[in-house]
Amino acid sequence: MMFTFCSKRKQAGMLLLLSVVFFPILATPAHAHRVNVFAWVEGDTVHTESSFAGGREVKSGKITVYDDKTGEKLLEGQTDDKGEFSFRLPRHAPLRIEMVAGMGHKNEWIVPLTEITAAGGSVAASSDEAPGETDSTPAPQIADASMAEVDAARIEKAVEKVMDRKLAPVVRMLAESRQHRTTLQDVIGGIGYIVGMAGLGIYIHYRRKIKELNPR
Amino acid sequence: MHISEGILSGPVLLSGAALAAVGTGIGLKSLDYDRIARAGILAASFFVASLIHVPIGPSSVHLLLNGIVGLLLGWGAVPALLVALLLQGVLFQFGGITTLGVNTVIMAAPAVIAYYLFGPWARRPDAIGMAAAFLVGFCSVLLSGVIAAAALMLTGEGFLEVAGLILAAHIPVMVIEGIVTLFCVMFLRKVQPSLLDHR
Repeated sequence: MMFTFCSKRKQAGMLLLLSVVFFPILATPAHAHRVNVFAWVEGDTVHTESSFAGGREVKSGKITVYDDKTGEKLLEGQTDDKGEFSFRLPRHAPLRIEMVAGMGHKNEWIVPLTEITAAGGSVAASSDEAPGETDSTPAPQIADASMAEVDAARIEKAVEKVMDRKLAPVVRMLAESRQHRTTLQDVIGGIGYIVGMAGLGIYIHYRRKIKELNPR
Repeated sequence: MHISEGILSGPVLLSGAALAAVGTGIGLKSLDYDRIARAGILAASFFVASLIHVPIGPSSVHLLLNGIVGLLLGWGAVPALLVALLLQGVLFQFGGITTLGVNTVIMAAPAVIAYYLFGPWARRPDAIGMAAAFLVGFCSVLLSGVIAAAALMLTGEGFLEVAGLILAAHIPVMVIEGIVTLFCVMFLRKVQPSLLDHR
């Protein structure tokens, strides 16, 4: 009896030691071993940034861009030393950006059509006013419009350009914040689940034992 | 060394899952009452260890601690690691649900091997015991890398190339794990030597 009591105290001491060792590390925002990729649209350019969880950038990781609707492969590229890769919008469609970082690491990011449209990123807008582009670009209006309307269109374009530039960091930050982050809640929740499962195992064990001891 | 979803082919995923299921069955049988609590504590340690980031080397790596789990649990390491990996997948999005079986094999097979290879020696209070304890940590990370590379090879990547990459990235982890395991074993030998009993 004395011995079991003693060993329990030792076990409690061990647990305490473990938690003392682990807690300061927990308190730092560490996210490990997952590759992250996120992308944002700025005008007619899509920027991507890839990093390993933990913050290290992915150097020369492989980026493949697909049309998310048709699944067609649009272009391929490699990240630079900062983990960045940018490309011109290949077409006006939702994009799926796939990042393969080697060693079994892979992730993807979807750029929805609404985001591309909101950024003014129609393919036509980049190459000088291609015909057939009818949605809200001012091009067709210019043809048969008065001077005032032309001015309005120009102003609109100029404002859009400046806004793109000014908002780019904000859009980037929003995209970045949409990534999954490991929080302290996740960690504590996971430990709780494990403790609960161990408790359940012990409970079942004891129920069986009690039934064995007084069979009725 | 958590392999993400959508990389491995179906047969590799299935055989990984089958192996993990068999191992879990054997492991659950070997877990008697006092080992349930032990398995819980070790599973929790493994679960958290993946957040401890090792900022050395070319890639992004973290502690694994599968060696010490194996040393203290034997076959019981398989269900313990399975549970911890499942929670890492769900909560941290490391690895994935479809790759759970393969990732369990990657982590648990070296744990069980380390138990049989070094378990009988790790108890000894001399230099051999210390070397065995270090090797438990060192070799289990090494073996995990080899198995991960084998799984990736079966899906088309060149084995030597991937194995080289993974092992190079994990050399700092192997050394650190060896030292961590050594200290754990030395500590346990002092306070609770019965934990190290090899059955």
